[in-house]
Amino acid sequence: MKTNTALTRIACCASLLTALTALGANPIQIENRKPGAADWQLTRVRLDSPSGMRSPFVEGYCSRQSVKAGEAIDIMVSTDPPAKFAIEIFRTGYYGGKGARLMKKLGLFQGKAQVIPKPGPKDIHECKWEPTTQLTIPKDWLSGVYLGRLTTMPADKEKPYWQSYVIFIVRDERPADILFQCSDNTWQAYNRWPTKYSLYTHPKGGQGPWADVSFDRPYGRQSQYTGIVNDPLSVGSGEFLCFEQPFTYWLEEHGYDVTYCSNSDMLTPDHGLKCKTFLSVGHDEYWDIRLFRSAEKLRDAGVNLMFFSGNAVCWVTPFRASSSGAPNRIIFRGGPYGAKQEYAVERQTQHGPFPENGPDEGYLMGARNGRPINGGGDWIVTKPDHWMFAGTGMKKGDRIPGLVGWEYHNLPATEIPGLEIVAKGNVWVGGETLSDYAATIYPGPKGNFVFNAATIFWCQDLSMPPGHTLPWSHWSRPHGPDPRVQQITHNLLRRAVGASK
Amino acid sequence: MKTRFLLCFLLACSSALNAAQNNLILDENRKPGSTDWQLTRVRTDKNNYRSAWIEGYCSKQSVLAGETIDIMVSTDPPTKFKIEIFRTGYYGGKGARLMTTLGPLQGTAQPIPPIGEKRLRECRWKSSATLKIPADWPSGVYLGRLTTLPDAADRPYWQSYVIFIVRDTRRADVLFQCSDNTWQAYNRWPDSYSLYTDPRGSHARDVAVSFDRPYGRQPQYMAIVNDPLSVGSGEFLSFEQPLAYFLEQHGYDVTYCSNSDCLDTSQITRCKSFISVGHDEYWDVPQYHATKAAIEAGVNVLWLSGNSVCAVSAFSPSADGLPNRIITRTGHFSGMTDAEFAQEEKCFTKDYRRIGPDETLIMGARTIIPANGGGDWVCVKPSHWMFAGTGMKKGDAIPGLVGWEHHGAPAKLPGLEVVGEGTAWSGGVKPAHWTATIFPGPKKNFIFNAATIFWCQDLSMPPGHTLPWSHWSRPHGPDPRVQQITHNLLRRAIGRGK
Repeated sequence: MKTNTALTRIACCASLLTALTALGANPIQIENRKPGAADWQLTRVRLDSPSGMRSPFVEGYCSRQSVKAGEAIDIMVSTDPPAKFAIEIFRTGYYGGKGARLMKKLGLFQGKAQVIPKPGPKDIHECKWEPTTQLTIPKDWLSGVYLGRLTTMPADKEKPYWQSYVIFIVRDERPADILFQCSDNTWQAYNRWPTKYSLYTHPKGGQGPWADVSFDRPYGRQSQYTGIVNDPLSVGSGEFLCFEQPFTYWLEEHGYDVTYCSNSDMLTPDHGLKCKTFLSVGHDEYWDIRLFRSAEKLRDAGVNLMFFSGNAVCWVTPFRASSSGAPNRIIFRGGPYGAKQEYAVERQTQHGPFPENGPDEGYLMGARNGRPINGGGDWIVTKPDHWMFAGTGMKKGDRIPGLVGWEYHNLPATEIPGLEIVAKGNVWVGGETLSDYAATIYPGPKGNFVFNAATIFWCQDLSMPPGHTLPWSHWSRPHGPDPRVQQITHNLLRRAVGASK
Repeated sequence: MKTRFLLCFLLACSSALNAAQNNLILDENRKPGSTDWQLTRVRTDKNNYRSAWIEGYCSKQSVLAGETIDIMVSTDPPTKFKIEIFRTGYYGGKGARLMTTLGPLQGTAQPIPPIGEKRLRECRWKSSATLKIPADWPSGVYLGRLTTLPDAADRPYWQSYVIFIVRDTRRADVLFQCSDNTWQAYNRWPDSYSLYTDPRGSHARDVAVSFDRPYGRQPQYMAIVNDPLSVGSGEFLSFEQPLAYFLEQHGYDVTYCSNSDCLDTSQITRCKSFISVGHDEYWDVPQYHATKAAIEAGVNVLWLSGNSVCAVSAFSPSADGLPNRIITRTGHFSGMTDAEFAQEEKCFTKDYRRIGPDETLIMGARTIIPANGGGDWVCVKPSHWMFAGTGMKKGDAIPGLVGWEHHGAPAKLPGLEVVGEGTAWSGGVKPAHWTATIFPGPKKNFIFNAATIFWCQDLSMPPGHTLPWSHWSRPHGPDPRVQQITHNLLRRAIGRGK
């Protein structure tokens, strides 16, 4: 306990020093000294029905998943009924606890109802909306996850206003300590906009190759709002605020030098190779096979990989261009990862044939996707003497309540030399059916390491950004910030970025 | 580091010294908090309402130190379980302290009672444990966390809460009244037996509910707040805990009670100010008179609540004679007009009766029709002392703070001021005009009415708290302006300088 207190004090001290001196401050620390926004959440967020997925009153999408400073991005908005509206662009971060900074206001615009596309081949819903505005990213906008808050502006004060988000990532190419990859393929895979058109809703089967999904459409509400998390802020923002933002808030709070990218930016390893560690966060189920090869290259070149995620690298989703030729705007479920692992063969047999069969993800991540794939449980330490637990005070069998869910990893690849299982235990599907999970770490070839937390919910215990909703799934739930999870994450990151404790 | 540490230390010291030296709440909150008091594995049945695996209730709404309370638990299927008793507070941010652990105990499946007169569901479960409240347990809202203890590690455990209030009789600055009548009025346990489920109409008269049953999940979990921690704890954690957490964080000298404790005016007049919090819809008529008498005696009243003092709920004893264990909706307070009742005829039915006095006389504003909705809380009188230090200007809006029910139609009382007003939309479309008010009492005291159930959502965010999303509108969580207004009101009410 003493050690724990001392560590906390040293951590406080370190953040104080960096705050007091600009000397050697990294771009994230400098950015987070700027004033945060007191009002960036959605207040009035309405769906077409209580069980609806979309907000026709105001909704939109962006022309690209990610954009570099100096480049342009289009924002497409529909308002039905037609209404005037404004767009406020926020960068998410820490900002003294506020969680976001107002970067720019756009508008007023006169909105109109844009066309809901008819189902196309493979049920694709690809919008071809008129751009409302084109935004050229200023040179001084730091890499980050950006929200555009759309707000209708009724002329009459007795009329209600409505809001939703659009989301995009500003990326850069700088060598940073940490490359944070948003799991935006998975956000889109589960996106049912306008009603029931995700990768899970095709009449031929929810797990087959039958459906295409396009990034050219708004994100609807978190698709399993009665089963996983009922998050009003998810309307338009994919699953970033539900499953990833607590990580970015926490990283920026502690001044880690982090840069952000989309799944689609990992098609090449170029940026990752300039960074010291790569993070997969939240629910990162859908990877083009080129992402897999990029991650392998990073590991082999000495970059640390950390899967603070669950159900990661489960399905191969080849990218395709949109009908207008914009690259990487369509994905489909092309086949299982897992090579000849039992669960991969089972999926080929039951839901295929698939055109793709990805390599065994266990050899990349250290643990795999095995059936049953979802559930909830406590995260239980099995190897407390590992350095990652230093300062946590944890003993063998200590548990972090509800941290495992709503999907996880198991079947550890014990044949990897040096692989250690640092946590394992039981999870229950629907509160009933038993399964298990295993969190692992193994050494890379150059003194680097690959960590696998084996849970989508890891970052729920790192921080509680303003307006955040904790999940409740499979009758189990994480509790929010836990000093032990924070300390483990610090230990892993500090070793990965070469900082002292 | 040294500088910062010293500063924190000095700040903590000075705020401690500023307050009364023997502040029970400050002392209590210096004790170590618990890192694990939330529910982790909480499950509801096929109706998504109750937790049959483990659920329970207490024999009293509130209890004095030295007295005993029984905890009745059912586990279906039968299983061993334990009970951990936590006091909710601040505790360095952790939010609760572990007071004692009871068990392991052997659970049994206890019977679901038949439907009685007036749709009453009254359990008569065997007591699982009798707890004598130790003399050193301070007044507070206490949670009993029930946890099943499976025989094998590959079987899941299940949890839910019971809830009770420890009260006292001391003089304190602030009396925090839990709105437990309203928790029970909305409690549908076992599935559809609340004061709202009579086929005649959702506000029909002569419907009764008993405190002798577990609290189910927040009954409007898809429309108001989907709060897993509400299973067994009424609506305390959803609508009231953020105020308790905030008060104890700032060392206010607060004592807690149940609605049923406010039948007696001396329970209120022992304190400098009285707070109604969250959703405080159901009052027996003697509560009204006790509060009115307290105002006349100089007590400040803060209605940090919405839809308050709307329905008359007469207390009666349970079948085995325990007092105040059944409430019956016998009618309504008399603020609302006939035209308003008529607008919601389906809900109130044609035989509605005004049997209580005019609630606006003790509140300044009242329930209006539409009674529910959501809106921004808009400042209209920024020069009022309650806004000092907030930087607010006329028309400044606090997003989504008004909901899911509110007050309006301010009374014509001498000196009454409307400090906030605006529109809230029911179902996102139907407007209502809400008003927040303040008026002077006879002894330089004041009566403030925030006009929203959600006021405390913007005071703090206790661990595990879920923000509501209702009528397509939502508050954002802690807002420095709402915190400052609340400090200004409380500090004046208890006679402490800024």
